Amino acid sequence: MVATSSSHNSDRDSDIGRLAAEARDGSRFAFQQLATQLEPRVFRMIYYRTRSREDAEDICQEVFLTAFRSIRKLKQPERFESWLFRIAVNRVKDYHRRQKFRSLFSVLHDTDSEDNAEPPAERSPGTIDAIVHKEFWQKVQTMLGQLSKMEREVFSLRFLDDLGIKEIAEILSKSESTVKTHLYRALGKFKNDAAFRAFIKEARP
Amino acid sequence: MRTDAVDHIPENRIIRIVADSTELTPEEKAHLDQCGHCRNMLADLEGDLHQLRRQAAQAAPAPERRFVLPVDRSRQHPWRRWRWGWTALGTAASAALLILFLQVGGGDRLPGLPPTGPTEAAWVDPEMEEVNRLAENALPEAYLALSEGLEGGYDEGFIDFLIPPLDSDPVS
Repeated sequence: MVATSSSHNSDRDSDIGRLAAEARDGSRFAFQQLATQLEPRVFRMIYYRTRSREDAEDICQEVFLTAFRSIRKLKQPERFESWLFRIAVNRVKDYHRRQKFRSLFSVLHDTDSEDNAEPPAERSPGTIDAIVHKEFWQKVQTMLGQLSKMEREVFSLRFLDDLGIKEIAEILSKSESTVKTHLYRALGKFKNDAAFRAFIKEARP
Repeated sequence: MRTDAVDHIPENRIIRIVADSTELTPEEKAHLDQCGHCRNMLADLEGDLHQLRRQAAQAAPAPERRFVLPVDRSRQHPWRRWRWGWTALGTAASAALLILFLQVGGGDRLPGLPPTGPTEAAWVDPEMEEVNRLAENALPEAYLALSEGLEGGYDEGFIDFLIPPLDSDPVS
């Protein structure tokens, strides 16, 4: 099972590396192929950290546009994916900085809007999904809140975004041993969070 | 590695294996093949993490906008590429000509307009203004010519008839 997954990832990586090399040499078609292939993952990665579809779409556009404009500087096309996620991580950090700055001036407004938030009018399937998703993200938020900033980042990149240790190290500009140290700690906390794991298990089909 | 209950794979090793499968040693792999307890512990943790990833993906919406590459300017017709260049060049040339014309044409006035300005108006003498006004209101040329004719060629007999000389007055 592990061998099959590795083989699949290896094929995918070599395909991405080939397309990235072509895109670096000026092929717009190759870059569009890369975007088509990686956009859903990059979008989800950004959404997990912003919880706003509109903002995630905007940031995702920025990420691919930045990558397109800078791809000629990419020295190792086989590392395109890590490079792209690194751009995405930095864009998300910029987003949170902006949000933090804005929140300084809109505390009252946000409180009002939370108080005035109307309950769902009817229990349509879409509304139920929205409630389930909201509850899920609240639980995830609580679980991640127990982790340090770095633990949270490596845990999310490894288990939500499905990236390898080496890729995470490249994205965060840290050594692999540093990434592993934080990941072990984060995983230990996850393992001991019985309430969250029970919640996750409940949703199993 | 022994497979009895005492020598199960430690929890920290399970965590490391789950975090990075390359951490699994051949001894641990052999142990997992034989020990249901350790295998279940590993599978349980991996299963929860897999479930977390799956649920997160389900709880994320699909993007409504897809990335589209910006227009490739290098593939446009050369005329279209240079169009903005020519426009900019024409604007710059027009501005240069205007500045040159202003400099040569007097500086303090726009070309084509009569010289006006407070400096000239300030030098007008009120007496000269009156002289000019009188000159403008002088008799028409026809009248001036007539009076000139009278002065130049009048009839002496007619004058004498009008104003008789004293020496010919019979009373005196």
